[in-house]
Amino acid sequence: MDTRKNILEIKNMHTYFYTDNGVVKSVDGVDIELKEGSTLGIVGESGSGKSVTALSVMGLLMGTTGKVVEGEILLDGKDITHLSDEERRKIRGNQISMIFQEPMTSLNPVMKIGDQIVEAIRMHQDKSKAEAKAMAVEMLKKTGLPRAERMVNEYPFQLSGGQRQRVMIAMALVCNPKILIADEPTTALDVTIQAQIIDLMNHLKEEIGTSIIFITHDLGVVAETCDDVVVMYCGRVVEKGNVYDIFDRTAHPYTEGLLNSIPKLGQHVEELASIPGNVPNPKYMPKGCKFAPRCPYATDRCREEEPGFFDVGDGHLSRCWRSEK
Amino acid sequence: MAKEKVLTEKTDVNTPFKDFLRKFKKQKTAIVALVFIFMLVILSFISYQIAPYGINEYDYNAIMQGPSAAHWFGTDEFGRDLFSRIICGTRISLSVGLFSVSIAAICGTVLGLLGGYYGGFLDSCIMRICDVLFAFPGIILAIAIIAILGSGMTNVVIAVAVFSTPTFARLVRSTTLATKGNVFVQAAKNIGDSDARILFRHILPSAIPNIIVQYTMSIGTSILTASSLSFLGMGAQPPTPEWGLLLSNGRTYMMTSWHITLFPGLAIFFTVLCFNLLGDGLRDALDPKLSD
Amino acid sequence: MAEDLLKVEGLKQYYPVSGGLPGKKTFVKAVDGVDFEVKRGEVFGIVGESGCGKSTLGKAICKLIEPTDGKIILDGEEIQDYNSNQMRSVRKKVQMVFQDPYASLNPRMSVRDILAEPLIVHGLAKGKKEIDDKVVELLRAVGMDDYHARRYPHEFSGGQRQRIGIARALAVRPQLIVADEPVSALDVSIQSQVLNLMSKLKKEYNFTYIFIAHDLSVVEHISDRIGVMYLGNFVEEANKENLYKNPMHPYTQALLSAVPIPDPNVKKDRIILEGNIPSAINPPSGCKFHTRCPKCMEICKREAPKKYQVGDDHFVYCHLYDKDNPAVNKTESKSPAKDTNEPEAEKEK
Repeated sequence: MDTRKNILEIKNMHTYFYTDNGVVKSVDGVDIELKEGSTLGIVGESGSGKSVTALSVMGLLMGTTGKVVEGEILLDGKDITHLSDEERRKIRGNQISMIFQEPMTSLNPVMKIGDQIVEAIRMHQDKSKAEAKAMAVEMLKKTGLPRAERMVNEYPFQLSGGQRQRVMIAMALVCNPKILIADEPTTALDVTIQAQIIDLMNHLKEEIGTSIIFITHDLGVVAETCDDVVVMYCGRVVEKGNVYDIFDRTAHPYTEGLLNSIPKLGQHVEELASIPGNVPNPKYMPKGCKFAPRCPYATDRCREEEPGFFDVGDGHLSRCWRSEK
Repeated sequence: MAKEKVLTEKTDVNTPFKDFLRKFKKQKTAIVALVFIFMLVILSFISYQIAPYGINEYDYNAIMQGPSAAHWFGTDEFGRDLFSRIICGTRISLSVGLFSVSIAAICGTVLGLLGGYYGGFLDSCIMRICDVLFAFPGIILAIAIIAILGSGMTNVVIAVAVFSTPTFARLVRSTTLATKGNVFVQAAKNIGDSDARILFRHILPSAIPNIIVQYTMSIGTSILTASSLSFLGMGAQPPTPEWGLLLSNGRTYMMTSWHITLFPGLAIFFTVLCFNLLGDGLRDALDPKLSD
Repeated sequence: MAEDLLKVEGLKQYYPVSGGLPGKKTFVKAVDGVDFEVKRGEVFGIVGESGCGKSTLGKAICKLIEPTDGKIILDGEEIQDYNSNQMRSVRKKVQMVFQDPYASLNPRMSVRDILAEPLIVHGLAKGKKEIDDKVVELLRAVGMDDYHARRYPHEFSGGQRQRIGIARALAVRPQLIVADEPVSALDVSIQSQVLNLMSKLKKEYNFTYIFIAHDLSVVEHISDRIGVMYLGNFVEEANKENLYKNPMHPYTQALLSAVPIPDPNVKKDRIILEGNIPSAINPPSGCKFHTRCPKCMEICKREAPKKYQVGDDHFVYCHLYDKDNPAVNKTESKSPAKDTNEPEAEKEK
């Protein structure tokens, strides 16, 4: 059992969105622990609540109709769920940083790269402009960007998608945050560029000692980068464990379905295994286990009663009646 | 795929029209405006029947009287009942607004669709003409057209239509340009749709919400312009009970008999306001970006 | 079986760029001289990164854009110069499935109207009753329900929308379907459903597919033959066994090694390419890949490589495989074409 302490703990978090058509329970009782210095993968399809989980942790739900209605988010043992906006802002960027999927739109198009990073630094640290700029250049160099000195004076449109994502990473890591949340950081990138970015993130994790939450739908990326994995479906965690638990000792039928439905290079099959049906519309959420309508093993019990977590060995949890001993 | 049935409610059909109704119901002011406009329309049909006096019924015993039980809005310099004249004027103002804007909307939409879709020389021609028309202040343009065609209500309709057309052309052109790039237009091309079919079946429906909003707003403006023209003596000729004309007549006696100008003015003001409020409400209800 | 359904010769698609120097026209060379054939009944995969021109190539084949130069021969007919009226009949033979299932369906039309469109345009069904019947038939063919016909696109999930997109292409019973990234916008569990559906339909209706995608594992799964594109040109073209087991072009090798493997026990050494894809406005001289190629030679900077056959149904555009070139043979101790396991002598450095 891993003895490293948890730097971030999310306990029984519920995030609901209040719309005209009723309440959408995007995250409905999620428990996640991030160990210091490790990479945690959150895997799920669209609508699984993985991005909302990240936004809730970041406190970035203001301005939306969403709200964390229940549960705790403990950063280093301290509850940050009920902090004021001002206190939240101090934590954001300084202790927890986030990078987003769209490197095209998450940088301000009319501000120089350097100024954007300098702003991020000076928001949290008492540095002169010149010092902050030197730090920015230093950080850009660490992300492997060529000609960093010149790049600080350029605008985002002058960079390619991969370069922009590197700038985003530089900006997120420049204040040495304890936690970096990466929401689909490579999805919008090409495979060869994705390989560069994954390589960079693995490398920076070692160098800076940041713990990473890696949100993705790509199981290949998870297998290559993560130590622990959380699989989410319909606002709930359905399975969690270390990366070998998830891939080699898969316990939940949803994880199994996901793993089987991706075509693998060099292994030719006539027909891919697939999960039938669609992710349920939040309006018509099934009762009982949320995966039951698509599950090949579903029984009447699954359709009536929602299972809790069952330990299938050494902290490897599965939310499935089949895992009950 | 029987499983999908379990997940979706078969009965829960949600058409774009239903969606629009649901959102429009939330626009309280617009609904009030719509009710008011609806009443004006009914009034325009029955006004001659319900008017207490004839529109040209002279009564030299009751000249320029203030509002009273017999004459709700008072009388003018010939002793005509102002209330009767104003409600009978509804028909004129509404039909001028409706006709001129309808002509403008049809012409502008066709021009905008063609210009936006085909681009090139045709587009440049259409847009430069629009620019020229835009360069004139609307009322001066209308006066110029009246000067050429001569005064009279038909010519007012034409003048107002001409000066409203460029607004529609521009609006439809920009929507066409935006929609043209959509993948579903490419998909229509891929199926083998002809240009006309693409224009009228795929692109035009996307522009219709904008056209409806602009149409409603323009009716207000064109009623105002038509009244202004009449006020300037270029539109309706006496003794037509046109609101602008009533206003113009009362101008001379403003110091002594304020009611002769006030009531036609209020009629114009409320009608135009209602069309604008309705237009705003429609815009909010039809805008896909404001959806929840 | 071996008959060519589609033959593309020297196809070029340039887009003029505004704002260049006055008097000098500049172009984005999205597709820069591409030759290939697609045999009847096969699935030809086109794979490449964003900006390589694969989508443009797909659209040019469907004539949704007018090709700048080159020939497109579909079923023995040269269609590159056809105008939109002449294309009408050709559209019954070639149909496209689009990448974005959210944008490719008109949000103001019901599913019934969307699917009725091709039937009406090509006169395949007359009268309301017949159209309704055909629409239901199409919906069932793609695994959807009758009552879906009354719905509007926004009520469907991505996977269902893509099924509708496929049904629309199906309506005219085409011979060739060009699928432009049909599953890349979909969730993992839905991707496999759509891929299986496409395979099933291919068997039922005997389609030929051109399958365009950036995801190598997806392309490998569905395709018989694959062409790899880089910056407007093919760099390698082979049947899938050859391409995946024995990639020849340095770019294909890098691309294959960059794909993350969903198995934490496999830690592979990957070739990480330096830098980014150059701009297609001013592509590098000679071989366009030479700026990022780990095995770049002098000749690569000067001359564009020709198409070299390196095996049965395996072609590569790379100077490394030019046996007649003395410069190549000097640097290479043996002819790399014969070296099947390690395509390049790794001691080049």
